[in-house]
Amino acid sequence: MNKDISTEELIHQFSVAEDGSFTLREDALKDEITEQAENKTSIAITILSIFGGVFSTGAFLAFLFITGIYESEEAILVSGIGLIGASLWLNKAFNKISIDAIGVTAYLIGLVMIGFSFAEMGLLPFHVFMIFIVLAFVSLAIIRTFVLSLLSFLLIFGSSFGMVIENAGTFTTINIYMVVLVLLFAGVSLNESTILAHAKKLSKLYQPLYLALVVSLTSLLLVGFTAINYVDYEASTVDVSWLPSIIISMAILYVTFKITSIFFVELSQLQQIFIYGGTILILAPTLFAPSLSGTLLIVLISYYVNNKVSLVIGLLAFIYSIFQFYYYLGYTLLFKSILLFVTGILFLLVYFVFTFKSTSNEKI
Amino acid sequence: MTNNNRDTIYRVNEHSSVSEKTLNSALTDYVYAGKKEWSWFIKLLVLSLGACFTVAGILFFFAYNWTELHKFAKLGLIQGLLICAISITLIPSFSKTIKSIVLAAASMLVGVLFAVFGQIYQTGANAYDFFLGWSIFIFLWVLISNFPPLWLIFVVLVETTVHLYAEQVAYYWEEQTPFIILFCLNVLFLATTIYVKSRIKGIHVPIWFVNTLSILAAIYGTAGAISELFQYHHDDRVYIFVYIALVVYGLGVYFGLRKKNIFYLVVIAFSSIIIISAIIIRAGGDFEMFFGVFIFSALSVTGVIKGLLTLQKKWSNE
Repeated sequence: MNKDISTEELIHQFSVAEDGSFTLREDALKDEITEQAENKTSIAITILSIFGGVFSTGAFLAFLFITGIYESEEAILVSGIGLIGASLWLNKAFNKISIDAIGVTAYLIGLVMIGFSFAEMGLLPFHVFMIFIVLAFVSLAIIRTFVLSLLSFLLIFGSSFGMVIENAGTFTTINIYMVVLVLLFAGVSLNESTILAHAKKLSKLYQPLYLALVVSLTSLLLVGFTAINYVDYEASTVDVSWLPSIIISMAILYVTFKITSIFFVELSQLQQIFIYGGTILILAPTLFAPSLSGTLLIVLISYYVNNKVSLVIGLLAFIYSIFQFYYYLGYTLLFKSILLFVTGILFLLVYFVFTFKSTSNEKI
Repeated sequence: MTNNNRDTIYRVNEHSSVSEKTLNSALTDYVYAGKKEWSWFIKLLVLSLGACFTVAGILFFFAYNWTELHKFAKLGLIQGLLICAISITLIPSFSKTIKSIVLAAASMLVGVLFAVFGQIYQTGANAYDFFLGWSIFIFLWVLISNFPPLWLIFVVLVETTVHLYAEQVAYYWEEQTPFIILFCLNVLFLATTIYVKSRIKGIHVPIWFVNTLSILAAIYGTAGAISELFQYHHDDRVYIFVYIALVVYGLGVYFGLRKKNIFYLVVIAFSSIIIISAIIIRAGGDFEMFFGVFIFSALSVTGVIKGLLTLQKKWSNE
């Protein structure tokens, strides 16, 4: 399971499976393989390049400010656009890691400058966010490298959240945004093959999109409600604070279904009730704490699709949301300690049942 | 490795007409987690959550009742835990890993014991001798443990001791003195580690430990150099530091080239670029210096990266 497979073996497998209708552009594939092999480098050099890019672009920015550019909004706007244009061109023209770092930093600083200049000119934040989203889509159309695509997707999600907050920011809308993001995340991550097969030209954008969704969803779950400080309290709200958890629980049930189909081809009625009922029971306390169930969903899906970075993010977020949950729980320390202890013993029981079952299965 | 498998599948998918179904089975076979991985993961997740929640429950229970506990009970509890932990390390039937982790936990418990002692008796000791005592008392265990995370804990404790001493007792010291002391200390640790790694057969020194020490040494060296640069009056002692730093960096470059280890070269390059940028800022005026720093850093980083990549290619071709 999960042994290495070479490109030639894979091509052979595909052509056998497709039964004659399989076409391959060999030259393009060979070009890409050589290009990627040339760019392989150690992590130490990668970090040095990032540092170099950030440092030199930062020094350039300091230089710009010393020349007094902050006095003119138009100059800042033009510089910002210029920096973004330069970064996109650099990214398209060169494929070296050292140039990448300068490109990314220039992109970020260009964004900040554009946002700052528009704000100074009196544009509404709502319109600035819209401009950012358009900019991000334009960048995505041009570039295909991982970091810039990731930044563009993050810009899209962040700006759309900003638009929601600016225009209609209430608890209700934040919860609905959370639901949308959860559905998008589950949809994208669990349908990898569908998306890749139907959008082959955009396949380089899949991993950045996935990671951007994980980061956006995690941030929203953990700190999204602090945005409530910027909202309109007079607006009437419908209490849907239970909605995200319900949707997340449904997603977790679906993932549970996929996991159990790995273990058992068919489940008896009793087993189904036991597994799904047990899952619902475990998720019941998270009804008003979507961060717990949401981060658990991220952990499960990350492990399912075998993405180590999002797994680490999900696990750290899960641990943090457990802390948050118990910290804000309005009971005495004594009650909390008993609750923790009992929950711990329950988990350990599940562990022993699981170990016992799997060893007894092995004996058979 | 599944990362490579994913890359391979993506590449072939982009340049071919493979269908969704075939792609899905390829991903399931070569990338997605299978039965064995899920079994391991669920067991690990449930076991960790169970252990952490149970321990947390017990801890919170004691925290709730802490002020009501008699002082002998408090000390006795921690001493009891310490004795249990050490007893476990003496039982031969446990695996080496478990014994090492328990020994590391016992080392942390020594610190807890001293902290509780200080809290009960309000000894008014400066924090630095708490860390000093802690380091001294676990020194023997660190020596015999052959467990790198415990070595790292010890290094952190010793450095914290120096930091706090400089802050609380030797506040008449100049700013750069603790950095210089810590730089020399880390170089000493690093030299010992490299000596042990190359000469003593029984002890396995992992690469991450050596690299962490190198980074720490470089950080303190760089911080010391920068704070020395921005001082108003210079001691003659600074020249000793400069000589030591140059010798150490020179040795680092020599070893890096000889052992074909790119890490030392990268760290020294990193540190040198920052120090030289600081020199430029110190020497130059207002306007030109940032531009100078920008030009210098862009050129030097590009140059260093190019040089290192060429070196790497040369090494991999040999």
